[in-house]
Amino acid sequence: MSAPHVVVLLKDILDPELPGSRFRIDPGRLEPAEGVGSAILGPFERSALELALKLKDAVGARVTALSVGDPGVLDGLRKALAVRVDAAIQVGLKGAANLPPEATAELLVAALGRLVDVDLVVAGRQAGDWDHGQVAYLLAEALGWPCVGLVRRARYEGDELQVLHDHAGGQRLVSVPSPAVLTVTNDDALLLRMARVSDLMAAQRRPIERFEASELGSGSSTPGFKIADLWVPARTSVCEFIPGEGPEEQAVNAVRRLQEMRLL
Amino acid sequence: MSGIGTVLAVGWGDGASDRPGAEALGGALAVAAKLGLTAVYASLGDPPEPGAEAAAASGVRALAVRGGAGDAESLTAQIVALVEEFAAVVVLIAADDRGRQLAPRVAARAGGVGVNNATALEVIEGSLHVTRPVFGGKAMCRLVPLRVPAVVSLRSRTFEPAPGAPGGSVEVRSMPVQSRVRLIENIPPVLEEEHLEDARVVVSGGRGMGDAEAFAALEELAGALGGVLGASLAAVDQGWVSPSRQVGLTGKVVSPELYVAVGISGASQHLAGLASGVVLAINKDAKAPIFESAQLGLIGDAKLLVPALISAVRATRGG
Repeated sequence: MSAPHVVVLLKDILDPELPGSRFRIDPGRLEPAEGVGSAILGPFERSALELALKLKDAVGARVTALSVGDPGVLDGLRKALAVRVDAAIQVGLKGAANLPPEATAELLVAALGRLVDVDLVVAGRQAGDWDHGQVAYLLAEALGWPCVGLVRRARYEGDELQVLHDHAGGQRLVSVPSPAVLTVTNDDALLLRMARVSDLMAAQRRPIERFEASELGSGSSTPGFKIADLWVPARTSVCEFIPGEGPEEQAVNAVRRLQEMRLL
Repeated sequence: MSGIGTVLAVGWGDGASDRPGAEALGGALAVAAKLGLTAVYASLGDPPEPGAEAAAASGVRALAVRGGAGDAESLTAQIVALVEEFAAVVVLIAADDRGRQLAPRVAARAGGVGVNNATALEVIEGSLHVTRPVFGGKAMCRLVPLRVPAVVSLRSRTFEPAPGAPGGSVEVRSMPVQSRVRLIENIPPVLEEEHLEDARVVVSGGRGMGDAEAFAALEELAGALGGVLGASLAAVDQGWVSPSRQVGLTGKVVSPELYVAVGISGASQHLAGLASGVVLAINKDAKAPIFESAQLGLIGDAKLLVPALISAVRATRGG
């Protein structure tokens, strides 16, 4: 077969390393407060990108990075260009980070309709902001394509796509007909590679194609749910630090305290 | 949402536990009572998950569906057929590896809406309200599905398992298996002696453990305490521990009496996997966020404190 065309879905999300103590809500909009943290490429999207790059290494797959995002929020697409994807496309939409999953999936279906001969779509298992874990599955259903979730490895054996994925506490190696959608889970073999310095610089100059959401004519259907409330849970715990001169004494005191609390 | 239709609870067999299905049924009974609907239970997979008999014994219409290796493709088609047959307006499933995939897929095919990782369900003025963690557990969100069926995956411990005894009368039927995905090789799970989710004591390690070898000492501590080894996402990502040990938003939810967190910073993503229990945190950084969520704290080097704890526990227990 000719080299497969792999589209990797990326999303820039509120930095997941932002400490909980600094997280703030905008109570009027029921969204994270503006400016509470920076937007970076999500961790599961990084794994999805690495899986796509491995297919490029192995069989010369053509990789297109596609992201629905706020105009100007381009961390993921720039990172993707720096690790040498073949093309980067942004569906520009203000407020994209808080778009419901169905609307995001609709926009992605419309955007994929503009691309030629897509063999495979790979996405992170969930965006680490709203954690809906839905977009890739909704996309597969809308396209009528088979979908395999929680993938750790993918390879082409001739024309056949084989993937290893989590299933019922174990794993399965399966054959998936193309075109297909895969969601990718975190795996130590899928840590995103480092970009070369020269590629990092070149990525700033490479073009990012823009599809305007308004032109795609999608993404505005009736939402499936409304958000009634969003809040930060109160932290009520007060930590009792166990004293001791050195680890042995600390350990003995800790064990005594656990016994007093009837935990031992 | 009130008055017409059913609340469908679905369980599937993994050969290990029928608790996820029983919890889904517990939720279905609670929601159905508030909406004035009836609950139906379906057990899928091969072999069928054993909860159907218990459901039937408690007076619920229960089905055991035979056939299929139970991949997400075939389960989706089977659940959609059941949704149509029973006019389900709410579908409850476990938020495990398969359930989180099924919620959006079933909802999409049935014209409804999926919601993943619910930690609470309420009925307010006849409408279902679903609470779930967002932003890696830093915040909670309550949302209202606007279409039916609402297909909701439930985090473990959201509901108590429905009570029931074996021996109920179950409708057994076969449903076609429709999967475009072909199985080449099945790698079954390594069966653990005790399930992380059911453990009374969990000892988890994080990035601060430094290497895979340090987890051997943690496993020893877990053994001395009569508990089970867990881990944070960071430790799993490093390849130090099997992903099946991961506690957190994308891993397992545990509810031990005692949770020992060693070298774990305390990211919300990790804490979202802790449903209850006293937390004993061990960290060399006194300012680590884990101490904001811990009841007991030990500040120091885990490589020294863990062996000292093993000795102290064994001395107490006469081991």
